[in-house]
Amino acid sequence: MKGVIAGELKKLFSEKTMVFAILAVMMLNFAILYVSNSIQNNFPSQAVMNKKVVSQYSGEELIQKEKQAATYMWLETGDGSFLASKGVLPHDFTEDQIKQYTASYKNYVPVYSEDIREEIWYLSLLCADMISTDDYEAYLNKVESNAQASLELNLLMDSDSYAVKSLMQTIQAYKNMHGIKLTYGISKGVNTVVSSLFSDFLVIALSVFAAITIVLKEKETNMLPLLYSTKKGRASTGWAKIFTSLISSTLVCVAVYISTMVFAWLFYGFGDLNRPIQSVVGFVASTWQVSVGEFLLLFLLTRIALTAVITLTAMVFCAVLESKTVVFFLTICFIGIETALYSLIQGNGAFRFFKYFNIMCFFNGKELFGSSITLDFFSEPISLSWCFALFVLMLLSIMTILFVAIFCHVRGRGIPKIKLKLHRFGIGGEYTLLWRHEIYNLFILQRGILPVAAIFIILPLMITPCMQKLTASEGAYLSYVKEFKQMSTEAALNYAEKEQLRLFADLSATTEGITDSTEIAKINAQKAQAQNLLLPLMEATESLNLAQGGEPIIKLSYDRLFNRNIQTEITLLMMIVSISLICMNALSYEHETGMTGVMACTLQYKKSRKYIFAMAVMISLLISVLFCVVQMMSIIKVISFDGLTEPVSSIGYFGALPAQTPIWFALFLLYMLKLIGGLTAAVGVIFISGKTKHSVKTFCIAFLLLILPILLKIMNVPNSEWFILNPLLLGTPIFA
Amino acid sequence: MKKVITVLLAVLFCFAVASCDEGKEEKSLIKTGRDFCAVENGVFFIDNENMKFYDFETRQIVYLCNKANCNHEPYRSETNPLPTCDSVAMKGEGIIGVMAYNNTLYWVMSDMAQKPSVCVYESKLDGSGKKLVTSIDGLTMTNYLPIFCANGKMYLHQKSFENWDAGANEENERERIHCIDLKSGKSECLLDIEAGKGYSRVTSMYLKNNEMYYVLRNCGYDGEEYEYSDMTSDVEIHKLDLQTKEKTILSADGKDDYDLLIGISSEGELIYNNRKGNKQKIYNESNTVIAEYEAYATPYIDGDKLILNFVDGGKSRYEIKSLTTGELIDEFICNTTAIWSDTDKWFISMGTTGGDRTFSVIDKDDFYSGKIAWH
Repeated sequence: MKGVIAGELKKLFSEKTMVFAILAVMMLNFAILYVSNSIQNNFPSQAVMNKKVVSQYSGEELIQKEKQAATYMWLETGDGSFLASKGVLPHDFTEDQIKQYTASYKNYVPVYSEDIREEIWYLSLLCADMISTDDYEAYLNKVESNAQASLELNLLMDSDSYAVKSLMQTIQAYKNMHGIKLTYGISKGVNTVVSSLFSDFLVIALSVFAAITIVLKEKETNMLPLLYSTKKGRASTGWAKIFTSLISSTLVCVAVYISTMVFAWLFYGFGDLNRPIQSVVGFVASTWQVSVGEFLLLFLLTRIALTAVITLTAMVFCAVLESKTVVFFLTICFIGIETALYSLIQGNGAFRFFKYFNIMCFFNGKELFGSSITLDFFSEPISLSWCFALFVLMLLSIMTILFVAIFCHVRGRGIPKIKLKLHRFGIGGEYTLLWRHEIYNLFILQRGILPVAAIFIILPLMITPCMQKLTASEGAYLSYVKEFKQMSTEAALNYAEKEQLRLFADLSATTEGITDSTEIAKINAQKAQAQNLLLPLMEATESLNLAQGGEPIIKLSYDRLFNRNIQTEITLLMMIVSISLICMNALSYEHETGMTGVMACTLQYKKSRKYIFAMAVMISLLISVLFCVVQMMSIIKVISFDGLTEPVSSIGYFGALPAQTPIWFALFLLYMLKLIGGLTAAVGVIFISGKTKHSVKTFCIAFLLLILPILLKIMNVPNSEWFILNPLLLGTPIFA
Repeated sequence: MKKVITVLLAVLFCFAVASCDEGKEEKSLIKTGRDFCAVENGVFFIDNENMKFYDFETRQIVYLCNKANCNHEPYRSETNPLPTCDSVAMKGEGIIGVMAYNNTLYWVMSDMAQKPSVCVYESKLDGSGKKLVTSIDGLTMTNYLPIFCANGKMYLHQKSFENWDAGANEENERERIHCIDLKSGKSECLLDIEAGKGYSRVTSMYLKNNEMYYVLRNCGYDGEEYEYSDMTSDVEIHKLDLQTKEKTILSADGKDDYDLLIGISSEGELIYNNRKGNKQKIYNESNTVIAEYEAYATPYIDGDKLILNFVDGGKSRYEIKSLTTGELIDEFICNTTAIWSDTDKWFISMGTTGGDRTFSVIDKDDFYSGKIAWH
């Protein structure tokens, strides 16, 4: 058995791709963390400065410094507002105190700035991390008294109910926390490690890659039947592969999260690793009695466990299937479903069980370690930590059993069950056959049809529901603009002014002194309605101003097209991911199956290479048009595009185009850019596929060059709209 | 392999039912709720964006949330888009009504984020496990009248807009009474009328067995002012048979001086209140005048008794009269407080101090025996 395990490990790590991928991912992770943190002001100088200051002064000393700086500011500038915000009035100080503070502040070398206001600002940010032991004791007492008050309610008459048991468990858990002394330390370092979404994403991607390498490689090279025929070719090999997957999960996690921790330590620091985890902002509610150092270790262990679950799940897919595209796709679906359940289910709803008993919930370190959530298991409250353990144990067991069962019983790689005999249609000559071969290769053999089918299903579901209904705000805006269209500009402006005054009057109504609840409800209703109508009125008035004497244009459709940025960016991301998944096998498949030599002997080999690029045009057009058309049709279904022949200055978008350019032309230009972007992406992926001769490497490079820039845009990295293909996909040049 | 799959399915099934709970059935009776709802142990009430509970025994007001370390923060699109607190709405809807019925708490919420709609959610009595029962498009959040529940159905009165695309304005407003089947979630519109311009035309409604009684008011409007300030506008008393859906007008034209339907006695008689300023006349449906007096406080009906409270020359007192005969049963001088609601055991009064709701309760037996000690 040891020999089999060693063989599997050697197979995995002798493959240079795996080693290269781990190293590349470590560096990529570090780079992305740096870039995403750069969004904050004065990074990294600010961060490094904070680390230095915190290492020199304790929390209480910093609070004193903050007060001294505020006093100094009051003395020098006469501005006592910051002091007052801390509940200290300038006249509370004695003469001696003022002299003492001034002297000590003057002796304190400013570390941030010569400007006293900036100095106070930075100090106050540091002090916000301070959670005193007294504050913590007060918090614990409040939680216990709240729980006790709830227990005493006659509402919870059934002492066997989940609610009662959960409250009693909470009381007990927090009772055990008394006596913990908190120590000041910077929280940003720990929170960076815990909340690094991109690191989690990389770990998931890498673990799927590892699973594919462990299982699918033998299938692709047709070595499986040979392997099965050996003495330890079935169960032993299966178990060895599982063991290898656990090793690879561990390595992947350690590699990625160590790079995250190194980043966090370098720029933010962790402070005193022996202080209780409750000292970190966001973990006050934690009932874990561990130090920060122990917590980081536990965090790593939980990540290893979750990564193992994902790796084994991908291995089960690999055992059943033969196509990498489908394995990636199914794993994305699994993660996608879990993410959707976690994001969309309310924490106070009837289905909260599926929200919290969820892999994405367990990936959220703050939720897992920093809360005291319990779940209802047959009326017994089980803490989230135990739920995590149960989840991991359950899934690991199920996936292990499934994988071994499938691996041991599956027959050798057979003929794919999906067949499409295109040549039966007998249309055209040799060129048509080449087209058919490429279509068959990409969409049927490599299961490229799956991402396309997914787009057909997911995209309309994703876009249409939120596009179908008018929100209250949009309805009000529409109503106002329609009203304005019936009046002259002057009359419309007068009407807008009167309406604004009326809404302000409603907003300022007060319920003070009124005891009749009906009257109170009525006033509150009017206030709420005024609040909802004010912004639409201002937007409608803005349309009137942009019209410059003409009819105002209903901007709703354009706002939906351009202002729902995150949705536009996510649909673009889906578009590029789909193109990459379909095209990554274009030229690499033949190399991986050793068919290149055979194909090169045929007469049509060279011509077929050209058709592959023609395929790229077709695929990119198909997918790009699909995305663009669905989006446009969803909008048109609810609101038509108003004023298409009017100049772009009427709607305030397309600032880079001449003001008199008609709107229809600007839209045409925008979508042409998107199509060109999609085409370039498809051609690029196929080109890379030909050069790398390896589909997964192709996808990795495509990810770096095409998908990553869009992810950076979603993360609002500055200037990311100009990265690589983003200008074409987002239409940046014509919006600027 | 088959055994493995069978075991897996069994495990998954167990998890699927892990948090299921069986509901309990209750005898069908008519229950009412508004922005508060009294039960035997206390009062559920809406405080701004949270649901709270006042416990009669402990006299404590608590958030309706079992999570001891919860901050009870309501929905905020940027900072709290997925609230976890049981005492708040799911997605930032406004909570406008509450009803405890059949061991279930029903939340009536107004959703203005999408097209205006009224949503009804159900949850356990401790507020957990909220689930959408139904959502009715086009309704707005005005809800001045009680919510009724009987025979597994909820009846509520709302304002709505006939054609939302035409905008939210008074010309477009309707008033509707909806019936919602709490089990299936299906809703049915029982009444659909043009809304009053700036006032509510349906002034009161009550359930009695399988009949709904409601009062419609039509106020004069000369384009500048309404003529309803003296409360003698044109009223009609309507009866709707909930089974046959047949509507009957019991009285019309305002000539009968009936103004407001204030309740139903334990004998099943409708009780009316004709009110002009502070002059009040309480009638039953047999036209017997039960009480005629001058006072601003609205009387309260408890079974077959009418409870009036007065302030006379600096002293305040309660008068208890029989709804059947109109005879005075008892009266006592004391510090009175208006009765807002009652249960089988308690009378409940509510007030506001510094913007916060305050509650007082008194045992009914103590009240009727003259031991006026609200606490």
